[in-house]
Amino acid sequence: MTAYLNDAVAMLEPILAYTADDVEPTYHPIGDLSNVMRADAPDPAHGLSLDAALGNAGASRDRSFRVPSILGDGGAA
Amino acid sequence: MANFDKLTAAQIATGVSAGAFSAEDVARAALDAIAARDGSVSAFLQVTPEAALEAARATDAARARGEKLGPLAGVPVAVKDNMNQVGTRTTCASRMLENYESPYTATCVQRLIDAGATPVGKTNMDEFAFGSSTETSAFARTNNPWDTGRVPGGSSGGSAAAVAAGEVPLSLGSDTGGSIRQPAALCGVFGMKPTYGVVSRYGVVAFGSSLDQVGPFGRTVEDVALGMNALVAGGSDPLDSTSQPCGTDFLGCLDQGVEGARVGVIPQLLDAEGLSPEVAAAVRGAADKLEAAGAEIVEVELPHMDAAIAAYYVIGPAEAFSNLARFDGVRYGYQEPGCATLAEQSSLSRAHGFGIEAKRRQMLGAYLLSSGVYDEYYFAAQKARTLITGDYRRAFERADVLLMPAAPRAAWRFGEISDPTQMYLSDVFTVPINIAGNGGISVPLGLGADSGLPVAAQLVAPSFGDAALIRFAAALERACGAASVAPACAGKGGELK
Repeated sequence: MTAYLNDAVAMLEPILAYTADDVEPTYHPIGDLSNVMRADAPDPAHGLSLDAALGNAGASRDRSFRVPSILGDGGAA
Repeated sequence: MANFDKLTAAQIATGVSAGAFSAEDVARAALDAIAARDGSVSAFLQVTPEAALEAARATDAARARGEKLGPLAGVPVAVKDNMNQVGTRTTCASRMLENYESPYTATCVQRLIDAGATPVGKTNMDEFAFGSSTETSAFARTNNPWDTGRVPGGSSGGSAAAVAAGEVPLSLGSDTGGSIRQPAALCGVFGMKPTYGVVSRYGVVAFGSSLDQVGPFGRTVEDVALGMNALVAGGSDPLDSTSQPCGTDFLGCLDQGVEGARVGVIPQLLDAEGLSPEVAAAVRGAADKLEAAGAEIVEVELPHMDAAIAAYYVIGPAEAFSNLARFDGVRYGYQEPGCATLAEQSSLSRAHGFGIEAKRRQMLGAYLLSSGVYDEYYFAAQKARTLITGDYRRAFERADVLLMPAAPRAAWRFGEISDPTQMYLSDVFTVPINIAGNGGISVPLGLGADSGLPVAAQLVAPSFGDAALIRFAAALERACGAASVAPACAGKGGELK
Protein backbone atom coordinates (compact mmCIF):
# COMPACT_ATOMS: atom_id res chain seq x y z
CA MET A 1 0.00 0.00 0.00
CA THR A 2 2.86 2.41 0.81
CA ALA A 3 4.48 1.90 -2.59
CA TYR A 4 1.11 2.36 -4.28
CA LEU A 5 0.40 5.58 -2.43
CA ASN A 6 3.84 6.93 -3.33
CA ASP A 7 3.27 6.11 -7.02
CA ALA A 8 -0.28 7.47 -6.99
CA VAL A 9 0.65 10.73 -5.32
CA ALA A 10 3.56 11.13 -7.76
CA MET A 11 1.09 10.63 -10.62
CA LEU A 12 -1.01 13.48 -9.23
CA GLU A 13 1.82 16.00 -9.13
CA PRO A 14 0.80 17.80 -12.34
CA ILE A 15 -2.30 19.03 -10.56
CA LEU A 16 -0.17 21.08 -8.15
CA ALA A 17 0.46 23.60 -10.94
CA TYR A 18 -3.22 24.60 -11.03
CA THR A 19 -3.13 27.33 -8.44
CA ALA A 20 -4.09 30.40 -10.48
CA ASP A 21 -6.01 32.88 -8.34
CA ASP A 22 -8.15 33.99 -11.27
CA VAL A 23 -9.62 30.51 -11.85
CA GLU A 24 -12.67 29.63 -9.81
CA PRO A 25 -12.94 25.98 -8.76
CA THR A 26 -15.79 23.89 -10.21
CA TYR A 27 -17.10 21.47 -7.61
CA HIS A 28 -19.92 20.07 -9.68
CA PRO A 29 -20.68 19.75 -13.40
CA ILE A 30 -24.10 21.31 -12.98
CA GLY A 31 -23.15 24.75 -11.75
CA ASP A 32 -26.51 26.13 -10.69
CA LEU A 33 -27.67 22.94 -9.01
CA SER A 34 -29.77 23.38 -5.92
CA ASN A 35 -31.14 20.83 -3.53
CA VAL A 36 -34.46 19.29 -4.46
CA MET A 37 -36.50 19.21 -1.29
CA ARG A 38 -39.70 17.25 -1.00
CA ALA A 39 -42.45 18.10 1.43
CA ASP A 40 -41.55 17.29 5.03
CA ALA A 41 -44.14 14.54 5.27
CA PRO A 42 -44.12 10.73 5.29
CA ASP A 43 -43.72 9.23 1.82
CA PRO A 44 -44.76 5.58 2.12
CA ALA A 45 -44.14 4.97 -1.58
CA HIS A 46 -40.42 5.57 -1.13
CA GLY A 47 -39.82 4.88 2.54
CA LEU A 48 -38.33 1.62 3.74
CA SER A 49 -40.35 -0.63 6.00
CA LEU A 50 -38.75 -1.49 9.32
CA ASP A 51 -38.15 -5.04 8.12
CA ALA A 52 -36.49 -3.81 4.93
CA ALA A 53 -34.36 -1.30 6.81
CA LEU A 54 -33.15 -3.93 9.26
CA GLY A 55 -33.06 -6.79 6.75
CA ASN A 56 -29.49 -6.21 5.63
CA ALA A 57 -28.06 -5.52 9.08
CA GLY A 58 -25.58 -7.97 10.54
CA ALA A 59 -27.41 -7.86 13.87
CA SER A 60 -30.66 -6.30 15.05
CA ARG A 61 -32.89 -6.44 18.10
CA ASP A 62 -36.51 -5.33 18.31
CA ARG A 63 -36.67 -2.12 16.24
CA SER A 64 -32.95 -1.31 16.28
CA PHE A 65 -29.57 -2.13 14.80
CA ARG A 66 -27.53 -3.98 17.39
CA VAL A 67 -23.91 -3.01 17.87
CA PRO A 68 -21.14 -3.88 20.34
CA SER A 69 -20.18 -1.50 23.10
CA ILE A 70 -19.18 1.90 21.82
CA LEU A 71 -16.94 2.69 24.79
CA GLY A 72 -15.14 -0.46 25.80
CA ASP A 73 -15.77 -3.99 26.97
CA GLY A 74 -19.40 -4.63 26.30
CA GLY A 75 -19.58 -7.96 24.57
CA ALA A 76 -20.08 -8.88 20.98
CA ALA A 77 -23.18 -7.90 18.98
CA MET B 1 -37.03 -19.26 -36.24
CA ALA B 2 -33.75 -17.36 -36.10
CA ASN B 3 -31.35 -17.44 -33.21
CA PHE B 4 -32.25 -14.84 -30.62
CA ASP B 5 -28.85 -13.16 -30.98
CA LYS B 6 -29.62 -12.12 -34.56
CA LEU B 7 -32.42 -9.88 -33.31
CA THR B 8 -31.93 -6.33 -32.10
CA ALA B 9 -33.83 -4.95 -29.14
CA ALA B 10 -35.94 -2.94 -31.57
CA GLN B 11 -36.80 -6.05 -33.59
CA ILE B 12 -37.69 -7.98 -30.45
CA ALA B 13 -39.98 -5.21 -29.16
CA THR B 14 -41.66 -4.93 -32.57
CA GLY B 15 -42.05 -8.70 -32.85
CA VAL B 16 -43.48 -9.10 -29.36
CA SER B 17 -45.90 -6.20 -29.85
CA ALA B 18 -47.06 -7.64 -33.18
CA GLY B 19 -47.39 -11.17 -31.81
CA ALA B 20 -44.72 -12.61 -34.10
CA PHE B 21 -43.29 -14.31 -31.01
CA SER B 22 -44.03 -14.13 -27.32
CA ALA B 23 -42.03 -12.34 -24.66
CA GLU B 24 -41.81 -15.65 -22.81
CA ASP B 25 -40.22 -17.37 -25.82
CA VAL B 26 -37.71 -14.53 -26.09
CA ALA B 27 -36.94 -14.76 -22.37
CA ARG B 28 -36.40 -18.50 -22.66
CA ALA B 29 -34.12 -17.97 -25.65
CA ALA B 30 -32.08 -15.40 -23.72
CA LEU B 31 -31.79 -17.67 -20.69
CA ASP B 32 -30.78 -20.52 -23.00
CA ALA B 33 -28.12 -18.33 -24.64
CA ILE B 34 -26.79 -17.31 -21.22
CA ALA B 35 -26.66 -20.95 -20.14
CA ALA B 36 -24.75 -21.90 -23.29
CA ARG B 37 -22.35 -18.95 -23.43
CA ASP B 38 -21.76 -17.59 -19.96
CA GLY B 39 -19.62 -20.52 -18.89
CA SER B 40 -16.84 -19.13 -21.06
CA VAL B 41 -17.68 -15.42 -20.71
CA SER B 42 -18.87 -15.04 -17.07
CA ALA B 43 -20.65 -11.78 -17.73
CA PHE B 44 -23.28 -12.46 -15.06
CA LEU B 45 -23.03 -12.59 -11.29
CA GLN B 46 -26.72 -13.49 -10.97
CA VAL B 47 -29.19 -14.81 -13.50
CA THR B 48 -32.83 -14.45 -12.49
CA PRO B 49 -34.90 -16.88 -14.58
CA GLU B 50 -37.98 -16.76 -12.38
CA ALA B 51 -38.13 -12.97 -12.42
CA ALA B 52 -37.45 -12.92 -16.16
CA LEU B 53 -40.20 -15.38 -16.99
CA GLU B 54 -42.63 -13.65 -14.65
CA ALA B 55 -41.99 -10.30 -16.34
CA ALA B 56 -42.23 -11.84 -19.80
CA ARG B 57 -45.53 -13.54 -18.99
CA ALA B 58 -46.89 -10.25 -17.68
CA THR B 59 -45.96 -8.65 -21.01
CA ASP B 60 -47.69 -11.44 -22.93
CA ALA B 61 -50.76 -11.17 -20.69
CA ALA B 62 -50.93 -7.43 -21.30
CA ARG B 63 -50.85 -8.03 -25.04
CA ALA B 64 -53.56 -10.66 -24.70
CA ARG B 65 -55.72 -8.07 -22.96
CA GLY B 66 -55.24 -5.77 -25.91
CA GLU B 67 -53.03 -3.30 -24.09
CA LYS B 68 -50.44 -1.26 -25.96
CA LEU B 69 -47.04 -2.59 -25.01
CA GLY B 70 -44.02 -0.48 -24.07
CA PRO B 71 -41.13 0.35 -26.40
CA LEU B 72 -38.95 -2.36 -24.84
CA ALA B 73 -41.69 -5.02 -24.80
CA GLY B 74 -40.11 -8.39 -24.12
CA VAL B 75 -36.52 -7.17 -24.55
CA PRO B 76 -34.14 -9.09 -22.26
CA VAL B 77 -31.92 -6.66 -20.37
CA ALA B 78 -29.03 -7.08 -17.96
CA VAL B 79 -27.99 -4.49 -15.39
CA LYS B 80 -24.70 -3.83 -13.65
CA ASP B 81 -24.58 -5.20 -10.15
CA ASN B 82 -24.34 -1.76 -8.55
CA MET B 83 -27.99 -1.08 -9.43
CA ASN B 84 -30.65 -2.04 -6.93
CA GLN B 85 -33.41 -4.28 -8.19
CA VAL B 86 -35.91 -5.83 -5.80
CA GLY B 87 -35.56 -9.59 -5.81
CA THR B 88 -31.81 -9.50 -6.47
CA ARG B 89 -28.69 -8.99 -4.45
CA THR B 90 -26.73 -5.83 -5.26
CA THR B 91 -23.16 -6.85 -4.52
CA CYS B 92 -21.02 -4.29 -6.39
CA ALA B 93 -18.84 -7.40 -6.94
CA SER B 94 -17.60 -6.95 -3.38
CA ARG B 95 -17.45 -9.26 -0.37
CA MET B 96 -18.68 -6.21 1.51
CA LEU B 97 -22.10 -6.53 -0.14
CA GLU B 98 -22.09 -10.25 -0.95
CA ASN B 99 -25.42 -10.82 0.83
CA TYR B 100 -27.01 -7.41 0.34
CA GLU B 101 -30.62 -7.77 -0.78
CA SER B 102 -31.91 -4.81 -2.79
CA PRO B 103 -34.49 -3.07 -0.61
CA TYR B 104 -35.88 -1.09 -3.57
CA THR B 105 -35.39 -0.75 -7.32
CA ALA B 106 -33.19 1.90 -8.91
CA THR B 107 -35.01 4.39 -11.11
CA CYS B 108 -32.96 3.44 -14.18
CA VAL B 109 -33.85 -0.24 -13.78
CA GLN B 110 -37.49 0.54 -13.03
CA ARG B 111 -37.77 2.67 -16.16
CA LEU B 112 -36.58 -0.23 -18.34
CA ILE B 113 -39.09 -2.51 -16.63
CA ASP B 114 -41.82 0.11 -17.07
CA ALA B 115 -40.99 0.15 -20.80
CA GLY B 116 -41.70 -3.58 -20.94
CA ALA B 117 -38.17 -4.98 -20.66
CA THR B 118 -37.47 -8.42 -19.23
CA PRO B 119 -34.69 -8.24 -16.61
CA VAL B 120 -32.58 -11.40 -16.79
CA GLY B 121 -29.80 -10.73 -14.30
CA LYS B 122 -27.01 -8.68 -12.78
CA THR B 123 -23.62 -8.33 -14.42
CA ASN B 124 -20.07 -8.49 -13.14
CA MET B 125 -18.01 -5.36 -12.57
CA ASP B 126 -14.87 -4.10 -10.92
CA GLU B 127 -15.42 -3.96 -7.17
CA PHE B 128 -17.45 -0.83 -6.46
CA ALA B 129 -16.56 0.19 -10.06
CA PHE B 130 -12.88 0.69 -9.14
CA GLY B 131 -11.07 -0.58 -12.21
CA SER B 132 -10.73 -0.70 -15.96
CA SER B 133 -10.68 -4.44 -16.61
CA THR B 134 -13.29 -6.04 -14.29
CA GLU B 135 -10.35 -7.89 -12.72
CA THR B 136 -11.01 -6.39 -9.29
CA SER B 137 -14.34 -8.23 -8.96
CA ALA B 138 -14.34 -10.34 -5.82
CA PHE B 139 -16.43 -13.06 -7.44
CA ALA B 140 -15.63 -13.77 -11.07
CA ARG B 141 -13.30 -13.10 -13.98
CA THR B 142 -15.29 -11.85 -16.94
CA ASN B 143 -13.66 -12.83 -20.23
CA ASN B 144 -13.75 -10.77 -23.39
CA PRO B 145 -16.09 -12.66 -25.76
CA TRP B 146 -13.73 -11.87 -28.67
CA ASP B 147 -10.79 -13.56 -26.93
CA THR B 148 -11.41 -15.19 -23.59
CA GLY B 149 -7.76 -14.73 -22.62
CA ARG B 150 -8.28 -10.98 -22.60
CA VAL B 151 -10.07 -8.49 -20.36
CA PRO B 152 -13.49 -7.07 -21.28
CA GLY B 153 -12.55 -3.62 -19.98
CA GLY B 154 -14.23 -2.10 -17.00
CA SER B 155 -15.67 -1.32 -14.73
CA SER B 156 -18.92 -2.32 -16.51
CA GLY B 157 -17.17 -5.28 -18.14
CA GLY B 158 -20.00 -7.72 -17.51
CA SER B 159 -22.63 -5.50 -19.14
CA ALA B 160 -20.42 -4.96 -22.21
CA ALA B 161 -19.51 -8.64 -22.49
CA ALA B 162 -23.15 -9.78 -22.14
CA VAL B 163 -24.11 -7.68 -25.17
CA ALA B 164 -21.01 -8.66 -27.18
CA ALA B 165 -21.69 -12.33 -26.45
CA GLY B 166 -25.27 -12.03 -27.68
CA GLU B 167 -26.67 -12.97 -24.27
CA VAL B 168 -28.81 -9.82 -24.21
CA PRO B 169 -29.31 -7.08 -26.80
CA LEU B 170 -29.34 -4.28 -24.22
CA SER B 171 -27.71 -3.69 -20.85
CA LEU B 172 -27.01 -0.92 -18.39
CA GLY B 173 -23.69 0.25 -17.01
CA SER B 174 -22.44 3.17 -14.96
CA ASP B 175 -19.60 5.46 -15.97
CA THR B 176 -17.51 7.49 -13.54
CA GLY B 177 -14.34 7.78 -15.63
CA GLY B 178 -15.08 5.68 -18.71
CA SER B 179 -16.70 2.58 -17.25
CA ILE B 180 -19.29 2.36 -20.03
CA ARG B 181 -17.29 3.67 -23.00
CA GLN B 182 -14.02 1.81 -22.39
CA PRO B 183 -15.49 -1.72 -22.00
CA ALA B 184 -17.80 -1.02 -24.94
CA ALA B 185 -14.68 -0.24 -26.99
CA LEU B 186 -12.86 -3.38 -25.88
CA CYS B 187 -15.89 -5.60 -26.50
CA GLY B 188 -16.89 -4.07 -29.84
CA VAL B 189 -20.33 -2.70 -28.90
CA PHE B 190 -21.91 0.73 -28.52
CA GLY B 191 -21.84 2.22 -25.03
CA MET B 192 -23.22 5.63 -24.15
CA LYS B 193 -22.57 7.84 -21.14
CA PRO B 194 -25.11 10.66 -21.29
CA THR B 195 -24.41 14.12 -19.92
CA TYR B 196 -24.18 14.11 -16.12
CA GLY B 197 -27.72 14.53 -14.81
CA VAL B 198 -29.63 13.14 -17.81
CA VAL B 199 -30.24 9.71 -16.21
CA SER B 200 -31.29 9.28 -12.59
CA ARG B 201 -28.77 7.62 -10.31
CA TYR B 202 -31.27 6.90 -7.55
CA GLY B 203 -30.63 3.35 -6.40
CA VAL B 204 -27.19 3.10 -8.01
CA VAL B 205 -24.42 2.60 -5.44
CA ALA B 206 -22.40 5.81 -5.47
CA PHE B 207 -18.70 5.98 -6.41
CA GLY B 208 -17.93 9.58 -7.40
CA SER B 209 -21.03 11.67 -6.89
CA SER B 210 -20.01 14.55 -9.17
CA LEU B 211 -18.93 12.11 -11.91
CA ASP B 212 -21.26 9.07 -11.95
CA GLN B 213 -23.74 8.58 -14.76
CA VAL B 214 -25.81 5.61 -16.03
CA GLY B 215 -26.15 4.60 -19.67
CA PRO B 216 -26.92 1.76 -22.08
CA PHE B 217 -24.91 -0.76 -24.10
CA GLY B 218 -26.24 -2.16 -27.40
CA ARG B 219 -25.11 -3.69 -30.68
CA THR B 220 -26.92 -1.03 -32.72
CA VAL B 221 -27.32 2.71 -32.31
CA GLU B 222 -31.09 2.24 -32.58
CA ASP B 223 -31.02 -0.04 -29.53
CA VAL B 224 -28.97 2.51 -27.59
CA ALA B 225 -31.50 5.18 -28.58
CA LEU B 226 -34.36 2.91 -27.47
CA GLY B 227 -32.66 2.42 -24.14
CA MET B 228 -32.05 6.13 -23.73
CA ASN B 229 -35.66 6.97 -24.50
CA ALA B 230 -36.77 4.55 -21.80
CA LEU B 231 -34.25 5.92 -19.29
CA VAL B 232 -35.41 9.52 -19.68
CA ALA B 233 -39.13 8.77 -20.01
CA GLY B 234 -41.07 10.36 -17.21
CA GLY B 235 -38.75 13.34 -16.96
CA SER B 236 -36.43 14.25 -14.14
CA ASP B 237 -36.44 12.02 -11.09
CA PRO B 238 -37.44 13.75 -7.84
CA LEU B 239 -35.49 11.04 -6.00
CA ASP B 240 -32.16 12.25 -7.47
CA SER B 241 -31.40 15.93 -6.90
CA THR B 242 -28.97 15.94 -9.85
CA SER B 243 -31.57 14.57 -12.27
CA GLN B 244 -32.35 17.01 -15.07
CA PRO B 245 -35.28 17.01 -17.50
CA CYS B 246 -34.43 15.63 -20.93
CA GLY B 247 -36.96 16.05 -23.69
CA THR B 248 -34.86 14.44 -26.42
CA ASP B 249 -36.39 11.77 -28.64
CA PHE B 250 -33.22 9.80 -29.27
CA LEU B 251 -34.87 7.57 -31.89
CA GLY B 252 -35.70 10.70 -33.84
CA CYS B 253 -31.98 11.47 -34.19
CA LEU B 254 -31.09 8.28 -36.06
CA ASP B 255 -31.75 9.52 -39.59
CA GLN B 256 -30.81 13.17 -39.32
CA GLY B 257 -27.60 12.74 -41.28
CA VAL B 258 -24.44 14.77 -40.86
CA GLU B 259 -24.49 16.86 -44.04
CA GLY B 260 -22.91 20.22 -43.26
CA ALA B 261 -22.23 19.35 -39.63
CA ARG B 262 -18.84 20.05 -38.07
CA VAL B 263 -16.82 17.22 -36.50
CA GLY B 264 -13.96 18.35 -34.30
CA VAL B 265 -10.77 16.29 -34.15
CA ILE B 266 -7.98 16.99 -31.70
CA PRO B 267 -4.53 16.41 -33.29
CA GLN B 268 -2.80 16.18 -29.90
CA LEU B 269 -4.97 13.18 -28.98
CA LEU B 270 -4.28 11.28 -32.19
CA ASP B 271 -0.56 11.66 -31.55
CA ALA B 272 -0.85 10.88 -27.84
CA GLU B 273 1.76 8.70 -26.19
CA GLY B 274 0.41 5.21 -25.58
CA LEU B 275 -2.20 5.35 -28.34
CA SER B 276 -1.83 2.23 -30.47
CA PRO B 277 -1.35 2.80 -34.20
CA GLU B 278 -4.36 0.64 -35.09
CA VAL B 279 -6.69 2.70 -32.88
CA ALA B 280 -5.27 5.97 -34.26
CA ALA B 281 -5.75 4.66 -37.81
CA ALA B 282 -9.32 3.56 -37.07
CA VAL B 283 -10.25 6.95 -35.60
CA ARG B 284 -8.71 8.78 -38.59
CA GLY B 285 -10.69 6.41 -40.82
CA ALA B 286 -13.87 7.30 -38.94
CA ALA B 287 -13.19 10.99 -39.57
CA ASP B 288 -12.81 10.21 -43.28
CA LYS B 289 -16.13 8.37 -43.27
CA LEU B 290 -17.95 11.23 -41.59
CA GLU B 291 -16.40 13.62 -44.11
CA ALA B 292 -17.55 11.36 -46.93
CA ALA B 293 -21.04 11.49 -45.42
CA GLY B 294 -21.00 15.26 -45.76
CA ALA B 295 -19.55 16.49 -42.49
CA GLU B 296 -16.82 19.09 -42.26
CA ILE B 297 -13.76 18.06 -40.25
CA VAL B 298 -12.29 20.86 -38.13
CA GLU B 299 -9.28 20.79 -35.85
CA VAL B 300 -9.83 21.94 -32.28
CA GLU B 301 -7.67 22.10 -29.17
CA LEU B 302 -8.15 20.90 -25.62
CA PRO B 303 -5.19 22.61 -23.97
CA HIS B 304 -5.72 21.25 -20.46
CA MET B 305 -6.20 17.57 -21.34
CA ASP B 306 -2.92 16.75 -19.62
CA ALA B 307 -4.42 17.71 -16.26
CA ALA B 308 -7.45 15.44 -16.62
CA ILE B 309 -6.02 12.16 -15.31
CA ALA B 310 -4.49 13.86 -12.27
CA ALA B 311 -7.68 15.83 -11.60
CA TYR B 312 -9.75 12.66 -11.92
CA TYR B 313 -7.57 10.69 -9.53
CA VAL B 314 -7.94 13.48 -6.98
CA ILE B 315 -11.69 14.02 -7.32
CA GLY B 316 -12.67 10.36 -7.83
CA PRO B 317 -10.88 8.86 -4.81
CA ALA B 318 -11.89 11.84 -2.62
CA GLU B 319 -15.55 11.31 -3.45
CA ALA B 320 -15.21 7.52 -3.20
CA PHE B 321 -13.64 7.81 0.25
CA SER B 322 -16.58 9.92 1.35
CA ASN B 323 -19.21 7.64 -0.23
CA LEU B 324 -17.74 4.37 1.03
CA ALA B 325 -17.50 5.63 4.61
CA ARG B 326 -21.09 4.41 4.97
CA PHE B 327 -19.97 0.78 4.99
CA ASP B 328 -19.51 0.48 8.72
CA GLY B 329 -20.65 -3.10 9.17
CA VAL B 330 -23.73 -2.02 11.13
CA ARG B 331 -26.65 -1.15 8.86
CA TYR B 332 -25.69 -3.31 5.89
CA GLY B 333 -22.67 -5.00 4.42
CA TYR B 334 -20.18 -7.43 5.83
CA GLN B 335 -20.06 -7.50 9.63
CA GLU B 336 -17.03 -8.99 11.35
CA PRO B 337 -18.29 -11.44 13.98
CA GLY B 338 -17.22 -11.53 17.60
CA CYS B 339 -15.96 -7.97 18.02
CA ALA B 340 -15.89 -6.47 21.52
CA THR B 341 -16.30 -2.84 20.50
CA LEU B 342 -17.98 -0.90 17.74
CA ALA B 343 -14.64 0.56 16.65
CA GLU B 344 -13.14 -2.91 16.30
CA GLN B 345 -16.19 -4.16 14.42
CA SER B 346 -16.13 -1.24 12.00
CA SER B 347 -12.41 -1.51 11.40
CA LEU B 348 -12.34 -5.27 10.84
CA SER B 349 -15.53 -5.28 8.77
CA ARG B 350 -13.94 -2.79 6.38
CA ALA B 351 -10.56 -4.54 6.45
CA HIS B 352 -12.09 -7.90 5.53
CA GLY B 353 -15.00 -6.67 3.41
CA PHE B 354 -13.15 -4.50 0.89
CA GLY B 355 -10.75 -5.79 -1.73
CA ILE B 356 -7.34 -4.30 -2.44
CA GLU B 357 -8.33 -1.75 -5.11
CA ALA B 358 -11.23 -0.46 -3.01
CA LYS B 359 -8.77 0.02 -0.16
CA ARG B 360 -6.26 1.76 -2.43
CA ARG B 361 -8.82 4.29 -3.66
CA GLN B 362 -10.11 4.99 -0.17
CA MET B 363 -6.63 5.37 1.28
CA LEU B 364 -5.71 7.75 -1.53
CA GLY B 365 -8.95 9.67 -0.99
CA ALA B 366 -8.35 9.83 2.77
CA TYR B 367 -4.87 11.22 2.19
CA LEU B 368 -6.06 13.78 -0.35
CA LEU B 369 -8.76 15.05 2.00
CA SER B 370 -6.47 15.24 5.00
CA SER B 371 -5.60 18.53 6.61
CA GLY B 372 -2.91 20.42 4.70
CA VAL B 373 -3.09 18.12 1.66
CA TYR B 374 -6.65 19.04 0.79
CA ASP B 375 -5.81 22.62 -0.15
CA GLU B 376 -2.93 21.56 -2.36
CA TYR B 377 -4.62 18.81 -4.35
CA TYR B 378 -8.41 18.94 -4.09
CA PHE B 379 -8.70 22.69 -4.60
CA ALA B 380 -6.26 22.55 -7.54
CA ALA B 381 -8.16 19.66 -9.12
CA GLN B 382 -11.37 21.65 -9.04
CA LYS B 383 -9.60 24.59 -10.68
CA ALA B 384 -8.32 22.22 -13.36
CA ARG B 385 -11.92 21.09 -13.78
CA THR B 386 -12.91 24.67 -14.53
CA LEU B 387 -10.23 24.90 -17.22
CA ILE B 388 -11.05 21.49 -18.76
CA THR B 389 -14.76 22.36 -18.88
CA GLY B 390 -13.85 25.66 -20.55
CA ASP B 391 -11.78 23.79 -23.15
CA TYR B 392 -14.80 21.75 -24.16
CA ARG B 393 -17.09 24.77 -24.21
CA ARG B 394 -14.73 26.58 -26.58
CA ALA B 395 -14.28 23.45 -28.73
CA PHE B 396 -18.04 23.22 -29.18
CA GLU B 397 -18.13 26.78 -30.50
CA ARG B 398 -16.33 25.39 -33.54
CA ALA B 399 -17.70 21.82 -33.71
CA ASP B 400 -21.04 20.06 -33.27
CA VAL B 401 -19.39 16.93 -31.95
CA LEU B 402 -15.85 15.78 -31.13
CA LEU B 403 -14.26 12.58 -32.45
CA MET B 404 -11.45 10.90 -30.51
CA PRO B 405 -10.31 7.47 -29.33
CA ALA B 406 -12.34 5.73 -26.64
CA ALA B 407 -9.53 3.52 -25.36
CA PRO B 408 -5.83 3.76 -26.19
CA ARG B 409 -5.58 0.13 -27.29
CA ALA B 410 -7.53 -3.05 -27.90
CA ALA B 411 -8.23 -5.53 -25.10
CA TRP B 412 -5.14 -6.69 -23.24
CA ARG B 413 -4.34 -10.05 -21.69
CA PHE B 414 -5.28 -10.81 -18.10
CA GLY B 415 -2.54 -9.77 -15.74
CA GLU B 416 -0.72 -7.80 -18.44
CA ILE B 417 -1.19 -4.54 -16.56
CA SER B 418 -0.39 -5.22 -12.92
CA ASP B 419 0.66 -1.72 -11.85
CA PRO B 420 -2.51 0.08 -10.71
CA THR B 421 -1.24 3.51 -11.74
CA GLN B 422 -0.55 2.17 -15.25
CA MET B 423 -4.06 0.75 -15.32
CA TYR B 424 -5.41 4.23 -14.54
CA LEU B 425 -3.93 5.48 -17.84
CA SER B 426 -6.23 3.19 -19.82
CA ASP B 427 -8.95 5.76 -19.09
CA VAL B 428 -6.98 8.70 -20.46
CA PHE B 429 -9.47 9.44 -23.26
CA THR B 430 -12.61 9.00 -21.18
CA VAL B 431 -12.02 10.67 -17.81
CA PRO B 432 -11.88 14.26 -19.15
CA ILE B 433 -15.49 13.93 -20.30
CA ASN B 434 -16.59 12.94 -16.79
CA ILE B 435 -14.63 15.85 -15.37
CA ALA B 436 -16.50 18.24 -17.68
CA GLY B 437 -19.80 16.35 -17.37
CA ASN B 438 -20.45 16.02 -21.11
CA GLY B 439 -21.92 12.95 -22.79
CA GLY B 440 -19.92 10.51 -24.87
CA ILE B 441 -20.53 7.33 -26.85
CA SER B 442 -18.15 4.56 -27.83
CA VAL B 443 -18.62 3.54 -31.47
CA PRO B 444 -17.18 0.20 -32.64
CA LEU B 445 -15.07 0.49 -35.81
CA GLY B 446 -14.52 -3.17 -36.60
CA LEU B 447 -11.35 -5.10 -35.85
CA GLY B 448 -7.90 -3.57 -35.47
CA ALA B 449 -5.45 -4.11 -38.29
CA ASP B 450 -2.77 -5.43 -35.94
CA SER B 451 -4.61 -7.13 -33.08
CA GLY B 452 -7.67 -8.45 -34.89
CA LEU B 453 -9.67 -7.28 -31.86
CA PRO B 454 -12.41 -4.65 -31.62
CA VAL B 455 -11.30 -1.02 -31.80
CA ALA B 456 -13.48 2.04 -31.33
CA ALA B 457 -13.87 5.77 -31.56
CA GLN B 458 -15.54 8.04 -29.05
CA LEU B 459 -17.92 10.83 -29.92
CA VAL B 460 -18.36 13.64 -27.39
CA ALA B 461 -21.28 16.08 -27.47
CA PRO B 462 -21.92 19.47 -25.89
CA SER B 463 -23.37 19.36 -22.39
CA PHE B 464 -27.02 18.23 -22.66
CA GLY B 465 -26.57 17.92 -26.43
CA ASP B 466 -26.70 14.14 -26.26
CA ALA B 467 -28.90 13.93 -29.34
CA ALA B 468 -25.71 14.57 -31.35
CA LEU B 469 -24.20 11.36 -30.00
CA ILE B 470 -26.98 9.27 -31.55
CA ARG B 471 -27.00 11.33 -34.75
CA PHE B 472 -23.26 10.98 -35.45
CA ALA B 473 -22.97 7.42 -34.13
CA ALA B 474 -25.76 6.42 -36.52
CA ALA B 475 -23.82 8.00 -39.38
CA LEU B 476 -20.72 6.02 -38.46
CA GLU B 477 -22.78 2.86 -38.08
CA ARG B 478 -24.14 3.33 -41.60
CA ALA B 479 -20.57 3.63 -42.84
CA CYS B 480 -18.97 0.90 -40.71
CA GLY B 481 -21.84 -1.50 -40.01
CA ALA B 482 -23.53 -2.54 -36.79
CA ALA B 483 -21.63 -4.33 -34.06
CA SER B 484 -21.68 -8.09 -34.36
CA VAL B 485 -21.90 -10.85 -31.79
CA ALA B 486 -18.45 -12.26 -31.00
CA PRO B 487 -17.90 -15.22 -33.36
CA ALA B 488 -17.11 -17.75 -30.62
CA CYS B 489 -20.50 -17.04 -29.01
CA ALA B 490 -22.79 -16.44 -32.00
CA GLY B 491 -25.48 -19.06 -32.41
CA LYS B 492 -24.64 -21.00 -29.25
CA GLY B 493 -27.95 -21.77 -27.55
CA GLY B 494 -30.65 -19.13 -27.76
CA GLU B 495 -32.77 -20.58 -30.56
CA LEU B 496 -36.01 -18.62 -30.64
CA LYS B 497 -38.79 -21.15 -31.01
